[in-house]
Amino acid sequence: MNRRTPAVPSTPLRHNDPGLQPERTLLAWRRTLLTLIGVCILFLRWIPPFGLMALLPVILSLMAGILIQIGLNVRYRKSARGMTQERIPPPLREVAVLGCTVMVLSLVGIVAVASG
Amino acid sequence: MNSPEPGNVIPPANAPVTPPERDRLSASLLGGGCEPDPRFTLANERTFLAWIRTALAFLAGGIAVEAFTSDVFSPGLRRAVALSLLVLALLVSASACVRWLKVERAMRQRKPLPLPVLVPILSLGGGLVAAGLIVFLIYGAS
Repeated sequence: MNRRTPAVPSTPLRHNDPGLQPERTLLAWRRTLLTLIGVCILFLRWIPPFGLMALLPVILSLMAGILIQIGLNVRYRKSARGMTQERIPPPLREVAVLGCTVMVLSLVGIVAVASG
Repeated sequence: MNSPEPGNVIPPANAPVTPPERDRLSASLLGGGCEPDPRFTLANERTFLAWIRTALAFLAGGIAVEAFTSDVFSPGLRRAVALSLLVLALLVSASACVRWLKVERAMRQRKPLPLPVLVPILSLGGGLVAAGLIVFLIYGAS
């Protein structure tokens, strides 16, 4: 097998990128999650006019946020290992979960505002 | 000791391209081609996240307009502004996902990157909402 670098499960957080791309990407995910939590808190202001249905987007945002947060550690390890192996698997599931969450939140908002 | 540590060996630039190992979902969505430089994958990921944060900002704006501006705008105008912002959030988030996928495919097939259709949408949408608000401030408040 033509592996150029040994698998290093004991030190998976080390990588060879002087541009610190895995860290920057991890921080970008964390910033996005923080923004998602902020939006989720804003939805609480909709409880007086719209009733308990306004809790639906809050619960959805929190679940997606927790799900992505759990996956972030694994993603960071994959990124750090990928920098040494010159290959990183694309984050299809994370992108799908986050993208769909924001789209569903927007749709819920549109339906709520349009229906008055 | 100046010898490199085992986990930090930098492969040479002309390293042979190893065959891609993808799961079924990645293979069906990303098509053929070879794996791009991991830095490009991460850069595309961060660009996607930046667009999603933009969409979240629009979403927050829409929610805030609906929740906090009942004393400022008439009900019709408030609804129009909130809806515009929420529709922009939907468009930007959907386009961000599509663009991420298109860029991933283009990088794997060594093709030029697609143009961002989000930029004109965002400029036009943001400009329209701002123009609407200016008109309201000049004529609506009196």
